[in-house]
Amino acid sequence: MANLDPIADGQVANAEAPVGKSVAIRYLLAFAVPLIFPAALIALALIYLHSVGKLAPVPLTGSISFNEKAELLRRDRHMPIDVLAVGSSMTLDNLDGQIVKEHLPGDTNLFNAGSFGLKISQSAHLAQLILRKRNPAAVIMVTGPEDFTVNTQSGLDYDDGDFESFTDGGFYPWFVARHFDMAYYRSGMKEIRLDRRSRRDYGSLAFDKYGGVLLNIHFPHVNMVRWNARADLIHSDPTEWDAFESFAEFLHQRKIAFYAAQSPLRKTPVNAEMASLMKARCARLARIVEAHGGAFFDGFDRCPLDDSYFADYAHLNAQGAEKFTTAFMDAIDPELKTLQFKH
Amino acid sequence: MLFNSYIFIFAFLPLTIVAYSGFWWVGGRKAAFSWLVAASLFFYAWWNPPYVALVLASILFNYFGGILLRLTRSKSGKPSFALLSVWVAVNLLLLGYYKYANFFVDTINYAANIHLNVGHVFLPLAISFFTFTQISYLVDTYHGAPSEYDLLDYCLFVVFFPHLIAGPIVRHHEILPQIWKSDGYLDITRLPAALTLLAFGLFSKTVLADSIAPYSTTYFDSVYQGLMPNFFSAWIGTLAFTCQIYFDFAGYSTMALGLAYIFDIKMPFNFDSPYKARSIVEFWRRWHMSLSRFLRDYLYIPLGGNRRGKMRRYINLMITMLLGGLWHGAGWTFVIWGGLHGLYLCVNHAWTTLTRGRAWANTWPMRGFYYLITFLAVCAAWVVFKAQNLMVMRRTLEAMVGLHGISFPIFFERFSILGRLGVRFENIAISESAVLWIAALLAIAFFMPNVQQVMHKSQPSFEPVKRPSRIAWQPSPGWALVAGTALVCAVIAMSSGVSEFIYFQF
Repeated sequence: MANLDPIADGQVANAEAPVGKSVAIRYLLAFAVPLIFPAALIALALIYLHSVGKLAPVPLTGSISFNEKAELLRRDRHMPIDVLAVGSSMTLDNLDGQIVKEHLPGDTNLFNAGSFGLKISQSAHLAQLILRKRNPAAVIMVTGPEDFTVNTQSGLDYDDGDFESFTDGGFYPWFVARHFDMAYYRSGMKEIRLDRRSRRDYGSLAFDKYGGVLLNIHFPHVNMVRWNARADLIHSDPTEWDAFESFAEFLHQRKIAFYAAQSPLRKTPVNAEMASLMKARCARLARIVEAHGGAFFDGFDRCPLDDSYFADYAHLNAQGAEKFTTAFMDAIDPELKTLQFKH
Repeated sequence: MLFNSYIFIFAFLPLTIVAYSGFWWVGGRKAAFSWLVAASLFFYAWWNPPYVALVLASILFNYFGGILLRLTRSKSGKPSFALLSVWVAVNLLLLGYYKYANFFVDTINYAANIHLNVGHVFLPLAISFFTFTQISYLVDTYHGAPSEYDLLDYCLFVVFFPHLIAGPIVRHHEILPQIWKSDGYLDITRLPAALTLLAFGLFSKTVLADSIAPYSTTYFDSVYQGLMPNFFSAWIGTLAFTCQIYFDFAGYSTMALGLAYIFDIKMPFNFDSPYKARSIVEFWRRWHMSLSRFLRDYLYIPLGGNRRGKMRRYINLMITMLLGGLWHGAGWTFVIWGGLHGLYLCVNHAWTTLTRGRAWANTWPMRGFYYLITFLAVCAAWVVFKAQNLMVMRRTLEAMVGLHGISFPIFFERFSILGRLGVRFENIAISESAVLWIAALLAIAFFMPNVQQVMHKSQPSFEPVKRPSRIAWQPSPGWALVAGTALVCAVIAMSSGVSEFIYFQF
């Protein structure tokens, strides 16, 4: 076997350092320029946009609404929560925080953690994460039919530890770097600027001081596709119902009062078959909530609203939210009076 | 862990380098090398931690085998062939079990129409590489080569992360003397060349190879799902894979050189612009050079090489290449691929013998023909290599020779000559940009120097660079900007997803 030792055969290339130290340092500095320059430029742009409130929230998930809510939780991390509202946009848009607050003692705090597109299981998971660190006396959830349908969307997955460390006030630049997504920031910048300012958009993220959004959308200035849409009452997912029941059980065990409500729907697109399905659905919700010591309010049946209170087939505008929340709070007022707040 | 992952580039590598220097300062050579072994095992364990035990068991077994071989030689004056045979057989059995058990059982079941079941045997990453590396150690020890190494040094030689997963297949006498004389600490003067190799290698993988990969994957997957390919799509799919595997392997080999060089270890070259080969013999001197060398030294030559007549030489070539093909993967397509290359080599040698001394065989038109025929033969073999099964292979090769008709995409209508030649134009789902990108990559493969040729002044390997390029890298700010930009582009390209190196699966 030839050439067993290339070093001895003199085949090994000159092992001496090919360059001097100063040349090497100069080279490494120049090498770093293409790496540092774009990174520095991007970092400066991000810092500037953050300082003027135009930076999209850290992309913990693919949902800008959820991410924005996580930012709000982070900002309010030192505020105790006495009443926590969780759920989808039904909770975010249809629950008027001011009305809830009027039914609570003066020094209690409400936080609306509702976010677009959350299914019941996702809302329950988020609530359980928040409840690890917070100790509210009650949880409110406003539900709509879409909350129980099969989850076909992606992008709402997140790491629990990551979420907790972010909302606990972890080092902000670390999260920006860890979740850095240029495309998200590029597309999210325009979207977030509009959503933070205006309540005239369905995706508005102009949170009030409780974390909710009261939409300023009135017929006829509505999106007609959304306006005429029908609630999906047929494709409900059994796992979402299980999640709802488990959540009610979880709150019961933690001795946290649970108040759930069905949000009103526009009457026009609801036919007799849908009305009957809604009735059965609300009865099921009521059974689950009440079996675990909670209270349920059927806003579909007990709070009929005309079209002027709606932004679309299920989302209420500010006036609708006020009406619905008043009816909901009046219905559970006796229970609210018995609450023992822990802060 | 993959070389082209953020965790490797931004966490594992910097931490390993810094800690390596730190351990050298605190505890000297032993501490630094122990760290490097631990880091390499962690690098391996990232994929599947329990298999670290297999690597360690293999190392201990072979290290012990080396000691026994030396002992028998010193006691009886001659090495024990029986001992070597047992040790090599155990290595091959281990490799055979993990890599080929399912393949052989499936083949027997199919042939005999029976239902043997060994369960699903999970292939440990890199088993082919660390087994071959250690077989070479045992064989060299048997032949009396100096091989008395400290266990820690031996471990480092086997598991050193730049070559552990996908080669090059290193030999102890090339690497261990370097480990002994390594100055250990992080020498900043090595970094310019090492980081440049790393940057160019990563660029080759994430920007060039990964950008063309979807075209080949889409093509072969769609044929696998039953689509009947046409002439144009078959060629595009094949050429896309031809480019993908070229830049993928070039990228890995270049990164391995750079990574090892950071630690003052020079690896053998593994890649040397194989598509510039003028014959299949030359192709195998340029492609996966460390595997070719292993097969030559530990299989072809022991079989008799070319020393026992022409016929025996051809038989030896076929055996070597069939086993080389099988080494790549447990599947009939790999066996056929190896056999095809064996056949090519036989034809190549026969042609060389036939045309020896004939001037016409070395004229420039003939030389051009050799380039072309070699490249086409390699492309055809890549179809066999890439095809998921024999049906995909057959359909693709049929389409490539026009058995399914010759049609081009509509955007080729502008070349009127094609129409006059009877070519049909159809709505084929291949974009103009795909065609242009493949053409650009082939131009790079054919006409550009490779990274090691450009980097020849930095001597990135212990082997001399053949055919050094006139475009020569220097530690100048201009080159630093080029390399840094390549790294930035590569890292940005990684954000669209991390894909394995093709040779990781072997």
